[in-house]
Amino acid sequence: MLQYLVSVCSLGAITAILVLGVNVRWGLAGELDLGFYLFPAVGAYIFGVVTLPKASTQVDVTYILGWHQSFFAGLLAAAVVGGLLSVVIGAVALRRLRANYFAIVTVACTIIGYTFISQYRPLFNGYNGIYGIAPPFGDSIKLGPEGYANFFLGICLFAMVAVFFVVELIRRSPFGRAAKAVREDEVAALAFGRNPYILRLKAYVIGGVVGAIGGALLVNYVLAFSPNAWSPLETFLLYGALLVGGTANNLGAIVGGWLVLIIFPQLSLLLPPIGGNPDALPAIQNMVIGLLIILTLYFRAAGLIPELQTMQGQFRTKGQWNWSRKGHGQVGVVDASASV
Amino acid sequence: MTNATAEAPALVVNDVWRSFGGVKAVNGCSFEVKKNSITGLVGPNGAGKSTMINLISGLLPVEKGEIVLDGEHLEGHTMDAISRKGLIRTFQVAREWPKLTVLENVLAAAPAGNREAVWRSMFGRRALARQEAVLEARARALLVRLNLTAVIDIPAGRLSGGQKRLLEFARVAMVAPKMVLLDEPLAGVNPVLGDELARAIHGLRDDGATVILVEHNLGFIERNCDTVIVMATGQVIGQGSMQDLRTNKAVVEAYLGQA
Repeated sequence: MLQYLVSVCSLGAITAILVLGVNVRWGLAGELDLGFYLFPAVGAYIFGVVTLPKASTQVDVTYILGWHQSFFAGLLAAAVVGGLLSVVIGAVALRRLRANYFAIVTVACTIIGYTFISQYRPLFNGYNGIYGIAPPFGDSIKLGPEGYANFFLGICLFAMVAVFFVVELIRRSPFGRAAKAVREDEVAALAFGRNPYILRLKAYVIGGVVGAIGGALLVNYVLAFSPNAWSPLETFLLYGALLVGGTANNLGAIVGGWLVLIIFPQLSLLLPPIGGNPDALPAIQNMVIGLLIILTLYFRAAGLIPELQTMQGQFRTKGQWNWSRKGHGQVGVVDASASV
Repeated sequence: MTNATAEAPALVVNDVWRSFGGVKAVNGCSFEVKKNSITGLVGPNGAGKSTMINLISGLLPVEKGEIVLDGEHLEGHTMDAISRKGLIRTFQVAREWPKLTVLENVLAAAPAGNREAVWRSMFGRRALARQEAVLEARARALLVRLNLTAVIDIPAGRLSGGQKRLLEFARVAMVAPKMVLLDEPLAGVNPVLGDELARAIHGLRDDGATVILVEHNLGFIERNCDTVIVMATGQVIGQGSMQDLRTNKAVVEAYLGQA
């Protein structure tokens, strides 16, 4: 049971990183990027082909690179490629397109990427995907399977906290303030000398890098990656988690990721099995998540932990929880720096 | 006003054209604005005032003609580039950033420099904090001047219409611009606040800015402007003090006569 919990928590930390990535793009910069899952997927593939040895000719597997590099090299490569891909897609999609048009382009890009990766075998072995990824530090650290699972959980939690720390610094910085200004009113940002395109593109790239890092960790968790393991629709679950947790709040992103994508599906496993219909349970899970999103939007539109309103300029570390939406009144003032 | 006549003009608009489809909104418009003056821009509805403001500020591209700010050509540049050259505009509707606090609104309006580089959010934060502290002190002083201290830490979206206008002046003053274009600053503001806004406008001028004021309230224009430019059907039909314009036949026929 404990082993199971450790495994689920590792996945929870990875999921939270993905939601943090969405939050940089959608929460901070207001980019409705419905193709986000392309970046975790590419991060996972790149991590795989950088850490795997050359594709063997005995079995029918083909993929690029096969550099047999270390965990850190794989992570770095995933982040760099995720960033470069974000630059390319963002530069095109953000150039002239707003909101819904931008969203359509991101969906299209992801479907193109998905189809290309599935069909073009020399890249990432097509529909069969890559597998046999070695557990990180598996040879250098002599631990039993249980000890190793705990160690991997440690890696994931550390990565989650590190990513949270970085995106939180970004949110509090003058850059974060400018990105929010562009989100709130682009023309006003223009009038005060900001270039919305560049600010948006930067946020888009940061989100892509975070997503790719999450994907690289994900492939370490599942140890294989193929188009079966992800689909462009995955993005919507991440948005659901972010909406429930609290859009534009990094803590909310983490809470939402754990709550919606880990705790709820796990709880629904406790439901009695529906006789003769094994597909019913995943379907019910999705319905529950959908219902949860609707209820959240209805009764608590800003999410469980709404966007943080900082005092004394974005930069100072004092913060104030914005409970005081209409009708709620000021409930409490918390020093947000304690959470970092 | 005293020595401004000898100086080069702050803004030169020379034979500017702009049409929308077949409609000529601005056709061959030319005027000059004296340095450090408050210049009114008036005219009947559809005269092309707003289009002219949009052309100068770069929100719309100029089809033909020149716009020169302090010797620098503005035509062909984007709005953000023009803003960085020191020309700030406001809009008929106050455009605050609603979820940023009042203070953040003012800080986010200050020239970006390299404070907004992404790497600076992680490295050299102490130096950045010092820069921000200087700006914050200035922002707070401006907000005191504009009577916004009570609302300094609340989201700007919750301000009243008049407070949003005052906030706009704080944001403009934060930039310390060479030139300010104010597009109907009195729109939707109660008359009592008019005096406060007038003070804010003179404050901008005292800080060294040249102000162009588009406004329908001619009393307000007369009380606050050094010169007035009258536009009708996309051209300038008269320029001078309000008294001069009252005796200008073309202006009376096109605009003042109606009032």
